Amino acid sequence: MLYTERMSHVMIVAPKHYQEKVIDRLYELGACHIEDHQKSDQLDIGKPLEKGEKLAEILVKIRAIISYLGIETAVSNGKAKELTEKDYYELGKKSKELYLDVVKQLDAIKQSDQQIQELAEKAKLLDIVTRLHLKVETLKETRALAHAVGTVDSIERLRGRLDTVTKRYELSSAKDDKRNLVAIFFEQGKKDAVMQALHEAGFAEINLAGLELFPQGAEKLQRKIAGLRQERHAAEQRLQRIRQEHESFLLRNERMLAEESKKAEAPLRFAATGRSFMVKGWIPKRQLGHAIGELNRITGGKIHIEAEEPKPKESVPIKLKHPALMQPFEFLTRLYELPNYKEIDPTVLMFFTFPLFFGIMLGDVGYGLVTLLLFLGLKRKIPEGKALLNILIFASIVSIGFGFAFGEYFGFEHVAPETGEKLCSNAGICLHEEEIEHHGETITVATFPRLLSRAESRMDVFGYDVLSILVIGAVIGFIHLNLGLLLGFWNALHHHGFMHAFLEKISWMILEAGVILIAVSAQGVFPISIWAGTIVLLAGVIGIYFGDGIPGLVEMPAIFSNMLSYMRLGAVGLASVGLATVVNENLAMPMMERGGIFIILGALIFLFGHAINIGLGVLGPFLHAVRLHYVEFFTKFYQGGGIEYTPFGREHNDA
Amino acid sequence: MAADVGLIAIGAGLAIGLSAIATAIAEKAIGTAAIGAMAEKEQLFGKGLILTVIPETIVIFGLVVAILIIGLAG
Repeated sequence: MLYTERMSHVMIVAPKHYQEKVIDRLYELGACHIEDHQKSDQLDIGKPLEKGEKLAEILVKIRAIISYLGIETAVSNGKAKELTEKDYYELGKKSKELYLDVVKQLDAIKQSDQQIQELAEKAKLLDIVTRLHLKVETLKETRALAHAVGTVDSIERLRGRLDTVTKRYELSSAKDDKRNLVAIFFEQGKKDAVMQALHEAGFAEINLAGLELFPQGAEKLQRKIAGLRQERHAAEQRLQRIRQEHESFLLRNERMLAEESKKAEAPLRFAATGRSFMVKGWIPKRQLGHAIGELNRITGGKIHIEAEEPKPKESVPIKLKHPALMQPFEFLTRLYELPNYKEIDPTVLMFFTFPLFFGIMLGDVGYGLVTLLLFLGLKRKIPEGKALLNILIFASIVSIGFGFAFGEYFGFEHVAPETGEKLCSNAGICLHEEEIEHHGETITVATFPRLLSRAESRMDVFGYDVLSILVIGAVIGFIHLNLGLLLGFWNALHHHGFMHAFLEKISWMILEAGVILIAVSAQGVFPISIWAGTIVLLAGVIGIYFGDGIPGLVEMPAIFSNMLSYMRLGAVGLASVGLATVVNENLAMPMMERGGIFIILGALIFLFGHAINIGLGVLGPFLHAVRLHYVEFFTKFYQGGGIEYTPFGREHNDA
Repeated sequence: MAADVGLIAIGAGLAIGLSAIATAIAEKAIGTAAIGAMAEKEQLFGKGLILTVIPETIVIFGLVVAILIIGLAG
């Protein structure tokens, strides 16, 4: 749990005629993370299995059909059966037929669409002709008569222009939706002058060429369009039928072929000689015995398997290993970086501290309940976000707990005495009555029970009056950071030995001790000389210099600013309390007290204000809790940089 | 006394306001770069978000200081 899954480095060498069997078995086992062999002069990479090419060809066809038909590729489980040479032939034939059929239908649809569009254009033109009371036959150019059909903004202006050029013309006009349609007939001899005049009057010509094919008019055109629509519909129906009939066939075989072609390409990752092949990879120690047994069994012992411990410099693939309850928190570790093989996996630590931090910051029973319900609902809606939502659900539950501790319910820390009495007689929740100062007046309120008030409770720190929640934050920071340093010490101890680990990590703790001693003696809490603290502090500084060098010295103040950074545990919460109080006491409540319509208005303000505050109350605490871990905590011990363990085998989409 | 309280309030306001401006300037630069990185590689969203909120410390310190200053007013 504290470390990632322990791995063994394995090397498998076997004669080539076992290659396919070994690949199949490795695939079924799904435990071996194969290390790709790098081609070298001595040892070439393997060649794909013979069937690979054929498989890929069929796979491409099937995937094309799936995408054309818009089928969703769902994950179907179950093992594909072994296929013979003949099965592949049949499969290839069938998928080719289907492919051709689908392409034909798609072509038909495309062509019909194109033709329908063309005809629709024509229909529009015919409509114009009809509106202008023209006939298609009359629209032929003759030697004497020319014509122009088009649109114009102002007919008067057009007439005015035309009159200046010729008197012998005939103009008919009609209204379209918005445009003025006009048709002008004039002498062929005046064509240039007329066209010039038309142009100046803002005339836009409509090209009616091609209409002579439809002298019978609109009816025939519509019949033709209807015919095309039917063809298109038939093709669509056919596609639908193909989809219904063959969907499961396509999906099943897509999956099977994808698996098979992955297997067929596996030798590209192996090293190969003329007669043998070699696979290098990583198998979890727990599965090693079983894997070796299986491989020996299928090859009749004619295989050489060597397993050894990872060497210090090797980059071992990382498989996180946690009980189901903690697994969601792997999300946070991955978001940063996977741990490397030799260090402690921080997931288990975040399982405890992340919800704690979130809870302290949100800390309100009402808000906690709302977010809890919200995330439970979202989990159903968005299964992909399960890990994150589970983290937030944990965090919401902890927030409710802290809400009780802080005595906060939707930002209310207390209610009016009358409401308190009602609660007592109706719900049996009897609150303690208390006198508080409010805007300079002393009022009596029924206050919720609490261990600590975030907004009010104060404590004395070396003579300063400080909000308790801030001090609690800093103390948590002190503990958390020192835990981080101890973990760093533990990691370094196994890596570099005691001396190195001590100088690099424990020196910082000595530095802290020095500062604390100086503070304590300066305040006169303990009667010790200030020099004792100074000496300890100097020892710490020297240790840091030998452990981390000059950068360590430069970074020295950082450990204290990191600690103070944990005050955000209180501060973010205070901001949220502040906003909630403003919504309740300054906006919603005064509204409601005015009665009538204002009650509804007040309720709306209440809802809206708290909705915003809950939004901020999830985003803020989440980011700050994550950040405290990544920036302050991880830098004390965590290196990361592990590569993900991706075993050769069936892909699991259940994550 | 009233003048003192006024000065304390102004001090608290400056503490939070100036640190908020500083945070905003810092986050602006980081945010821009993070969005740029995300355009190249969408998986960087998580890291970008985290990097963007790092300067938030400044305003948190501002808030803490403001609260401490208000504490002076009693």
